[in-house]
Amino acid sequence: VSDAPLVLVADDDEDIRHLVTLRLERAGCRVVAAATGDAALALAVAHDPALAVLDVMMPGMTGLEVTERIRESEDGTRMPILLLTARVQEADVEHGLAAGADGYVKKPFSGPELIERVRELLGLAA
Amino acid sequence: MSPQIEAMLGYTVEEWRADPDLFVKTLHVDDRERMLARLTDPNAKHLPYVEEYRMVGRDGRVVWVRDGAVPVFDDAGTPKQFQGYLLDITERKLAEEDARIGVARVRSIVDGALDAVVSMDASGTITGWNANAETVFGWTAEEAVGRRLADTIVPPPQREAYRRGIDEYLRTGTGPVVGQRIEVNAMRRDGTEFPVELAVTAVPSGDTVFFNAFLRDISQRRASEDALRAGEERYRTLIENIPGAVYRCSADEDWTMAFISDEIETITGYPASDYLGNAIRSFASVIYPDDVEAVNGMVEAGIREHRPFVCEYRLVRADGDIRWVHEKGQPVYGPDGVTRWLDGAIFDITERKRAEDEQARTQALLDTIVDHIPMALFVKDAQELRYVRVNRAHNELVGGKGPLGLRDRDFYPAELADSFVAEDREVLAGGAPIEIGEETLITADGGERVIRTAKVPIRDEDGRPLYLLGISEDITERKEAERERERLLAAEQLARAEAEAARSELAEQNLELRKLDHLKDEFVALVSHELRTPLTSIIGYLDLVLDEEGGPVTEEQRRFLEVIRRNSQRLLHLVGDLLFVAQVDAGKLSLEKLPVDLTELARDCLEAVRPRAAEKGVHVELAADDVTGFEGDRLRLSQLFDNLVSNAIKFTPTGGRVDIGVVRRNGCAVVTVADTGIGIPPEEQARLFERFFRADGATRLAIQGTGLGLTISKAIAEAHGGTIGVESQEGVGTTFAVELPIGSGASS
Repeated sequence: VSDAPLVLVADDDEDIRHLVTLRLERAGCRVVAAATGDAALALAVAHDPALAVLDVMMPGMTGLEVTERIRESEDGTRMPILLLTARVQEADVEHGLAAGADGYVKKPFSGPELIERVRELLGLAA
Repeated sequence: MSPQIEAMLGYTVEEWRADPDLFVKTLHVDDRERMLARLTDPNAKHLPYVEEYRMVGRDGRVVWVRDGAVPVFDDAGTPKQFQGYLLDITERKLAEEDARIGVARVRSIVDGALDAVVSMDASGTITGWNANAETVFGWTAEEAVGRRLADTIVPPPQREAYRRGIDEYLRTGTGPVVGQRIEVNAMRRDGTEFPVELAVTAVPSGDTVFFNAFLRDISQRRASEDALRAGEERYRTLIENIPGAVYRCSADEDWTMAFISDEIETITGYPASDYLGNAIRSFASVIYPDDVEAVNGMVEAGIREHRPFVCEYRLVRADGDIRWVHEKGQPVYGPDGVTRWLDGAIFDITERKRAEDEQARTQALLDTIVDHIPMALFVKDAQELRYVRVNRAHNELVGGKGPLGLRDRDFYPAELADSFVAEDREVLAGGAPIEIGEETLITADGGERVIRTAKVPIRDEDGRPLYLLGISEDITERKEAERERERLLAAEQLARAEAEAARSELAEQNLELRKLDHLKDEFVALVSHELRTPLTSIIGYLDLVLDEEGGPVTEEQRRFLEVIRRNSQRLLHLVGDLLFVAQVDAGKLSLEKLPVDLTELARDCLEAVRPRAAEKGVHVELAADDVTGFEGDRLRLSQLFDNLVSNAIKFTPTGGRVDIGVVRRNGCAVVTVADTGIGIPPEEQARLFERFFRADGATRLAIQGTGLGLTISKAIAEAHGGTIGVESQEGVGTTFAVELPIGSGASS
C-alpha cells in the first residue's frame, strides 16, 4: 500500500470530491482530500503528496492561488498539479498554467480521461 | 549769264543754265519765229547783231529787251555761240508806243481821263494841263502852261527830291518815279496839300524828252484808308489781346483761312501763316478726326439757319497734344445770299475742360459713393424740408421709388412724419448734428424697420441753414440678429445643460451597463460553473454505475441509465452553447489560430456522426479536395462542422443523404453540407441565423435543438473572416456553404 502514490484532491463539492477520490483509489492511488484551498495547502505541506488534483473554483483560496503558494514554497522539488475546471475560457486555462499547474481537466470529465492524465503526471505507464 | 537776269525775267541763273530751252520758252510768241530764224541763220552766224524783241517773265509779264551780241569763234575759226547783253527796254518801248499814238487821240484820252494829266518838258516847264488838272489844282490851263511844274504843284519840301529825280532820269534814262505808280503829296493853288496817286511816263522825243504825269486826288481814299488803318490797328491790337484766335475763313471743307490771328500758334503750335490760303496746312487738318463731323454739323446748321454757331471740339497740336477749343462764329453772306465767309473766334478751353472733367469725375465719384454707401442718406431743404437728394439705400429702406420732392408727411404716417420733422427742426435750429437712437420707420409696404439716424445741418457761408443731411442705418437685421443670437445663446445654454444632463445620465448608464456587463460575465461564469458542477457529479456517478463500479447492472437498468446520461450530455451541450453565445456577445470570442487540415476535420466530424446517421438510416458522404495553407481554431471549426452536419442529419428523413464537401475556390476554403431534408421555406431562411430561432418544421417534427447552433456557426465563420450562407428548397433539401478565406483570415 505504501507504494501507492499519494494524491491530494481538493474540491468544495463533496460529491465531486468523492467521485475523484473513488476514481483515483480504484486506479490504485492513495488520496488525501480537502474541501477548501486552505485545507489543501495545509495537507500539501503536511503530506507532501506525489500529485495534487485541485478544483479551480473554490471559496476562499482558489485552486490557482493554492498552486501559486505551493510553487512559492517549493525548494528544488516540483509537485505535479492537475487542475479541474468547470470554466471553459482559454484564459482560465492560461491563468492556471501560468500559476504553475501542469495540466487541466474540464468538468465534467470521464473517469478514464482523469486517470490517464493522472498517470501521465505521475510518470506511470497508462 | 549775269544775276541781273533774275530781276528782269524772274528766272535764276541756275535755272537758265539747267534748261537750255528756257530761252526759247521765254521768247514772246509773236517774236519767237523771227528770233529763232536770226539765231539759226547759217548766213549770219558769224555776224554781230542788235535785236529788240519781247520775252515773257516767270510772272507772265511781257518784257521788252534789247539784245546785242557778237559771235564767238573756236580755234578753227568756226562760230560757236553768241555773247552779248540783254537790256530791259520795256519803259522805252511803252513810251514809243505812246508817241506813236496820234496826238489827237492822246488829247482826247487825256482830257477824258478821270485823272489830272500834266505834261512838261525836260526843263520842267508845264506843256499840258487837262480839264481835271484845272479842277484839282485850281489853275486854268492858260495859267498853268508855261509855269514851272515844281513851283506849281509840288509842295516846297518835296521840290528838291523832285528835281533830283528829273536830273537823274535825264542823265541815266531811269529814275525813282518814272514808270512807277506812287503816292505823293501835291499842292493846290491855294497852297494846301493833298495826297495824289502819281504815275509818270517819259516820252523821248529826238534828243529831248517829255514827261506826262497822271495825278489822281486820293484825299478821300486816303482819309478812309487812314480811318480803316486806324480801325484795323485798333482791331489788330484788340485781336492780339484776345485770348483766342480770331479768324475769317471760307465755308469750304478745308476751312481755308483768309485771316487768322497769331493766337492760333499758341493754340495749335503752327503759325498763323501756315493756314492762310492753306499755305502749309488746312485748319481742317488739325481738327481731331473724331470731332470733324460734329464741327461740320454745327457750322452747317449755323449757315442753314442764318445764326451764329458754337461748338466745342478737339485740335491736335503740333506736338501731338490734344487741346479742347470752344469756337463761336457766324456766317457772313454776300448780297446774293451765298455764304462768303465765316467769322469767328477759337478759344483754348483745355484747362477749363480738364477742370470740368475733374469736377465731373469728382461728382461721379461722390455720386457713386453716396449711392453705394450701405447707409440710407437723404438731404432735405431747410425751408420746406422736402427731399432734394436720396441715395439708393434710402429708397430701399423706405421702399418705392423714393421721396424726391416730397415731404415726410407725403408718405409717412402723420405721427411718424411729425416726429421726424420735429427732429429736423431741432437740428436746424440748434445748428449741431444730433444722433437719434432707435426709431421705427414704416416702409411703403407697411413694414417696420428699426433705424438709427444722424442728422447734420448744412449751412451757407452766412450760417443760414441750407440743407439737412440725414444718414440712417437700418439696424433691423442687427436687432433681429441680436435677438436671434440671444435666443440661440439661451437655446444653446439649455441644450448644453441638457447635453450635460444627458451625458451624466449616459455616464451613469454606462457605469450601470458596465456593472451589468460585469454582472453578466459573472453570471455566465457562475451559471457555467454551477450547472457543470452538478452535471459533473451526475455524469461521473452514472459512469461509475455503468462501469459497474457499484455492482452488476441489468440490461434494462443500463438502458434507463443511458437515457439519463444522454439527457445529461444534452444539458451539458446547452450550457456550452449558452456560454459561447455569451462570449460572442461580450466580444470575448477568441480564436487560437493554427494550421488546420479542413479535410481531416471534416472526416473526423463525419466519423463522429456516422453512428447517429447509421441509426437513422441517412447516408453520409465526404468529397474533399486537399485544401492546404488554411489556419483557424481547430476546436471552433470542429464545433461549426458538427453543428451543420448534426443539423443535416436531424432534418433529413430516413433514406436521405448528407454530402459534405471541402473545396478551394477564389482563395477561400468552401465547406458545404448538403442534405435531402425537409427544406426551409424562403421566409424563414433570412431568420435562420437569429439566436433561438427555430424553424417551423423543427418544432412541428419535434426535432430537438436550442436554436443556437446556427447562431454559433455563423459567429465562428465570421470570427475566421468568412461567411455562411444557405440555399434551400422545401421538400428537396438544404445546402449550407461556409466560405473561409485562406491565409488572410481575420485575426483573433
